[in-house]
Amino acid sequence: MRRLLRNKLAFAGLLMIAGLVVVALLAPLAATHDPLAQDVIHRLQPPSGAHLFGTDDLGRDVYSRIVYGTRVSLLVGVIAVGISVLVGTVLGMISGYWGRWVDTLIMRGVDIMLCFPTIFLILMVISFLEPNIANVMVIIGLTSWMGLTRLVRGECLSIREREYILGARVLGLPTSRILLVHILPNVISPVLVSATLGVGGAILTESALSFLGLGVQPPTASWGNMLAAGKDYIHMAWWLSVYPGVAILVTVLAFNLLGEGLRDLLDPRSSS
Amino acid sequence: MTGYFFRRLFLMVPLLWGITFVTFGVMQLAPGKPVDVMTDMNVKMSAESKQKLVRLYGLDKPWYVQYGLWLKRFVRLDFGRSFKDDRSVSRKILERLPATLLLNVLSLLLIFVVAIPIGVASAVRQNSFFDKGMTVFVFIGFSIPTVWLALLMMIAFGLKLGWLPISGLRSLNYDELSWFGRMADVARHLVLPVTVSAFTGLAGLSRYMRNGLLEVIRQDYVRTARAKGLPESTVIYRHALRNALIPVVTLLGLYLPELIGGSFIFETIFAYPGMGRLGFEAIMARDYPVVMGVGVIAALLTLLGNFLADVAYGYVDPRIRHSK
Repeated sequence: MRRLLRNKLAFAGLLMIAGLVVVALLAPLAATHDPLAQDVIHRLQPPSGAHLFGTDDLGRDVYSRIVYGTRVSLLVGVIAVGISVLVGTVLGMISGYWGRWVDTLIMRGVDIMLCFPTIFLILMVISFLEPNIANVMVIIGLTSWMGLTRLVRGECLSIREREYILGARVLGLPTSRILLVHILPNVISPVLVSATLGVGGAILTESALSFLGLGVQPPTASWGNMLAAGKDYIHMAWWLSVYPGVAILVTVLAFNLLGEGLRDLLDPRSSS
Repeated sequence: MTGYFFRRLFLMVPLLWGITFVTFGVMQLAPGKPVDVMTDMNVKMSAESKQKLVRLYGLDKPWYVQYGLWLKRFVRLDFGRSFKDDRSVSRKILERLPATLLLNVLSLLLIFVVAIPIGVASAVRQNSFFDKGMTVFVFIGFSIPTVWLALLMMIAFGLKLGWLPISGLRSLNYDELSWFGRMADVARHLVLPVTVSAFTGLAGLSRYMRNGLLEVIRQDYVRTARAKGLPESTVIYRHALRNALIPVVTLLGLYLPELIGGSFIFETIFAYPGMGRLGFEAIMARDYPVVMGVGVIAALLTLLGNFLADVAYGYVDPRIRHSK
């Protein structure tokens, strides 16, 4: 932990994430207006003292909507990555530890999934189901586990050959115990790096989906669906496009900084 | 080389089968039959003609029969007819494919032409002001929401400055233009979509190139080249860069699905008449045959890209083609 604080990149990222979490938790205090309150008379107002980032096409306060949007983005990012980490780690460990045909099967499955442009697969599935925040989280999670599976499998393959694993097997420990107690702790650090970077990716995917109208649905404020409104009023209200994008950029940047910082810490070989 | 080529080719077969299976599986998630959408709009449609439609597309058969039928036609690249306008799906895709290929090939070119010099310059002057600036650029490139970048560029270059058109591929007066005018017109329409779809890859590749070259510079043969007194430029460009470029070939396979995936988004934003927008519109309209056709073609393009990247990798690096 102390080393984490000494790495400037990671520290900056961590600080930004902490700030975002505080904003998300205290959204009612941080917001100046009700994010859903419409005020059609004051629609499409440019940024001013009363409305920090202006108002949208229904007269809602853009700043307050961005504040509440923090909740959506963080939630989607963390839960989607949680799902992909779970699937990726389990499949990767099975694949790497058992080997043989199970390994072949899982690895070919990964190859097949990687042939699809992820965004198209997600769009397809989402359009069949109801586009809402829960489905978005699950589907992003279920279409982003492939990289992690390969990563965990690779780690498992090398750990499997170590002497302490052989020792554990000679002692007659059950496979489940070997996997959980002896292998899992050793694959955690690369998974942690990959997951942190993955949160940023998931947030970007959510914003793209919501932008296309297949993600979080209005009136709930999500940075992506705010951008969609921005496109509709691109000729007259630049502030609708600019501010939500800055929010996404800052949030994703925070997770990427933390992820890269963690990588430098946990894997000195790749330090750049 | 021939053996390696065919080994790679053979490896694609199970993947191809998997692709058709996954696409078909996803389609089965669809709630409500597509005939509902078609017939709900049309009051003149009787229950009887609805039945006919179901039978025509085999929608009343169990999924494995539907899959079998679909696979049989797939071999002949016949994806059936669009639910929307009853036109052949492969024809609809074929009309849109050149525009999408144009967009993606140009983006790929832009990525490689711009990112490689940036990466080399960063590595040669490691920790310089330029290198640090590029590191910041890379972080932003990875973190920027590309839909937002698209909007910003539309606002800046399209609306405020008025330099570039923000949608479509041709102007309204396209037909009246000379040959040269037409080329220039298309090129102007391509600037924004190509730049936006290349952006993330640009950041990624310049980083990759920089780190790859730094790795190679630490190798013994580079030290040897320096030790025998070769000028620094010969050491970098003749000895180090050539070796650092080898793994870059494989990135081609990595960027392709990313770019094609991006086409679905950027073609929709820029109202670009390509396959991505066709696919997106088909998804919104539940036009199943078109969705499946586009999905399969997109995956095939990716597969082909990976294959070409593998072959090229084997070609430039003998260690790859001779190992099992």
